[in-house]
Amino acid sequence: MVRTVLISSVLLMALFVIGCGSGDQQTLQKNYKLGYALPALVIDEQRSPTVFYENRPFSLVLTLFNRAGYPLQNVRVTLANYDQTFLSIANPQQFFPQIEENNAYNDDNGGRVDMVFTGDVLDLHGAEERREPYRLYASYDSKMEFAPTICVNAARYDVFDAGCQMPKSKVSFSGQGAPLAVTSLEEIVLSGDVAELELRLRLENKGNGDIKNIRLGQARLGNTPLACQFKDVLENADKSVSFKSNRKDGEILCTATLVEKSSYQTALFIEFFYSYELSVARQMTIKR
Amino acid sequence: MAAGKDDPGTEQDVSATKDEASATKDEASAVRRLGSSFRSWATTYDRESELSQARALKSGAQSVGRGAGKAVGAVGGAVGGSAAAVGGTMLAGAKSSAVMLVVLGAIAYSLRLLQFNPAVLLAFSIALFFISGYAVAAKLERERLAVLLPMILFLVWYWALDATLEPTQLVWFLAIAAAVFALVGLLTKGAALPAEAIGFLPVLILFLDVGLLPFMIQKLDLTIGPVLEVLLFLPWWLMTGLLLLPAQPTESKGLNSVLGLLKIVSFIVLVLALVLPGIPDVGYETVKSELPTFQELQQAQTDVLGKLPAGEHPFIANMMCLLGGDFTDINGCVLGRQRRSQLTALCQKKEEVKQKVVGLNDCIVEEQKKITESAQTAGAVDKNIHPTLARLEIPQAPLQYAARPTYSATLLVENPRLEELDFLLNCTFRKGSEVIAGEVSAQGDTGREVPLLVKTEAAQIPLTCSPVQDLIEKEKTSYTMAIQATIRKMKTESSLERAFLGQVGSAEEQRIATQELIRDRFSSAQKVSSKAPAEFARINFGVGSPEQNPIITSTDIPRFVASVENVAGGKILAINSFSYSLAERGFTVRSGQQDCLSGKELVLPDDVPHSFGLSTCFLNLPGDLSNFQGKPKVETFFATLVYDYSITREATVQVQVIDLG
Repeated sequence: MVRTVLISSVLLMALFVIGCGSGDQQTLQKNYKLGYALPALVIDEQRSPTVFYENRPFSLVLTLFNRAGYPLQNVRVTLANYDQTFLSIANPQQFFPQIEENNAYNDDNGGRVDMVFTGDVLDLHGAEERREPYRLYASYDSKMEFAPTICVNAARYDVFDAGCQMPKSKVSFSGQGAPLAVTSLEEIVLSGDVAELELRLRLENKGNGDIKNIRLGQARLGNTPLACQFKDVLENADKSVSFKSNRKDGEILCTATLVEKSSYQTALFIEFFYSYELSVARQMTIKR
Repeated sequence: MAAGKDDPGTEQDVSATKDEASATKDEASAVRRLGSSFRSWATTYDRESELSQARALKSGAQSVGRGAGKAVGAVGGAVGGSAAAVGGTMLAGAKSSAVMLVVLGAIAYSLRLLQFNPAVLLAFSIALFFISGYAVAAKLERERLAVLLPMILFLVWYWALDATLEPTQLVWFLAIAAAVFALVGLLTKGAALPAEAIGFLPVLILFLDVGLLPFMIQKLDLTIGPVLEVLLFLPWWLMTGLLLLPAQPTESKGLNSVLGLLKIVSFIVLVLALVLPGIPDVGYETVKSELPTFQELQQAQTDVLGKLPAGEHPFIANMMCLLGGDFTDINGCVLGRQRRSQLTALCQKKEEVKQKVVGLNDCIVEEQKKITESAQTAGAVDKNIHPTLARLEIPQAPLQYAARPTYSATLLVENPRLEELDFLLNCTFRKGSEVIAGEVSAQGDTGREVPLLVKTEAAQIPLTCSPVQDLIEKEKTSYTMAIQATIRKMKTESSLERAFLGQVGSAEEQRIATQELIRDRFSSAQKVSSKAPAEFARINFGVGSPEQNPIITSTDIPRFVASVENVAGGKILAINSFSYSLAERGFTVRSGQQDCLSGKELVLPDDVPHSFGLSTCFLNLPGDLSNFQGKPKVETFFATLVYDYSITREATVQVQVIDLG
């Protein structure tokens, strides 16, 4: 009897263990903070015709998807650059405090907000038809975290010390789940009385929109704070930086004093806050 | 058709050297082979060309062979032959009928530039049509006669069938044409098909030459820009001749290169001419053919030429600028040349210059000053607004024998905007300096001036014109009858689009916003200018800093410039009023003409220029277009011109009064 109970218990436990160990394991492990996840403005073509008639209502239905691994804050979607003589929009700018990040609880398109722009198509002043270009802008604030594990070796010479090995050249990265991405990291140890680690990071805008400004958040190497400064960028009045005109990249230099003499692996964590704006150019036809 | 055989002189010379004789013989036999199928058609010209070349070879051989003796005669003959060939390169080229096309095409073009009699020009074009057919056929290896098929079928359809598009007739005609094409193709086992296809080239060139392009421009209401100006009146037959020249038309490498270059240019121009006017969206709504007759085409060409300001021909201006090496600013160079030539033409007409009271150069400087002092701006055609159109047609009248002959005419009106068009009709007869008043009859009214109201979308109003007094000429006498239709208080509205940046953040943000606006809305010069329907006259206006700049920032002090442009072939008689929507939108005058934005009546001089300045001033922006945050604002402003416009049509009429008493 005891034997039967024991066997049954073992089988039952095994069943639980197997049950817990499979199934959603992959979903739970998906890292949403990888790649160049770009936000997208998608127009509902069925509910938003491209041809309108004069003196008739206008409506445009669209969705902003957040495919990034971070939430979007202060989201503003604006319908602009249309000729106000021929089109009157009741609510040309719409505000959303937050859009959820892409995570396991939403579909592949990430968090979303749906919106509708309404208004009136006005008189054409005798014209048969008119092609009216307009532009949809979506601007928001968001963040990006760069958190790789790196090897640090303060030794003056490249001697194997049974720890880890520092990369001899730049290491490439393929995005951190946002349009703003650290695309390469170079580690340089400057030997002196006190060894200093210099980290050179290339920061790029991998999206089609514009990064309005970037601010640095926390920057740590393990528990040691990093001193960072942007290079090859424009400095704004509010101490944020922007990429130079017609450029989509810049550099950031972070330094830390190394106390440990032997090599070791540690977590690097640098946090960037940025404002982003993307736009979509569209055109409608207004007919008599 | 051997040259030596036909011409005794040539035969005698061919005996000078054996090599030369055999060369000439080869040449002759080649020509014989080539010309076999066309012998009965046009042999004379080729024979002449052959003889010319043989004579050239002969003279070369003589010049060297005579001095060098018989032993070196062969070598001398060859050298002399090439020397002669280089010297007489065009003679060698003349072998091809294409050269004939080049020469006659150049003559025809010169006559057109000199505005020769249209009937003669048309006859010239028809002759060149057939010569080009022959030249095209000469390029083919086989079944050249088939080239004639599409040409003849086209002429049959155009003249015999009056260019019908009536479905039944057209189906019958196309069926017969297809059967003829197929039969010829079948009998020649398909060998005639390339010839049949290539026969359409002369048809196309004939159309282009007699004015298809101007007609398309009128039909499509395309703006006559500098490129189209050049394309409008090109020497089409000359270019066709160039295209049909053989690969190595002469023995001179240099000349061949030049001809090759001209060939390429001709080809590009031909392609441009076909592509630039766009595909017409002319629907064949009526049963009657909408294709133009040759008279209509020529009239269209004359009308379009009339719209171009007097002065240097655009083609010549372009060529001179190209030859002058001013490649960086061809447009500027052409405009400069044309402006200078227009001023020269204007000054040459002035009495004080004719009588040498004022020097030509002084007059040009003075006129230049007048133009620069009265600022003007450019405008474009608004294709989205159907234009109001009116034209007079006078059919050809036979010789009349009555003392008060009556001539008929038609006023054709297109009024797509359904406006109330108030016409006033009158006519005159002119012989030298003598002017006899006419009496117009239209819609039951008769008088020296007949008013006419048109409210419908389209109207064809028949009218007659006769002199108010008896004519007394017993001999056949020509009068110029002029019928004038004046549209009173015609209203044409122009629109202008501008973008305002307001308080757009940083310089970088302004740059991006400007870039996006230009990309989305102001990507071409036409989109930056004010636009009006392609009718009679319009106000061209601009606001900005400068006025052509469509983006206005909050710190700008925009300049406002407005001018009137006569865009049709008629005359602006009076400007009843003009107004701008800027004042009611909140713009105010900052400096310059204080009444700049207000409308008023304008007294015009007798000699109204093609375009003239109306208003110039600097403006203050309304608050809501300068002090705002966020995205740029785009708005359209309007200018309205109310004016009297006259269109005149002249025709030569002949009278011979027979006293029946």
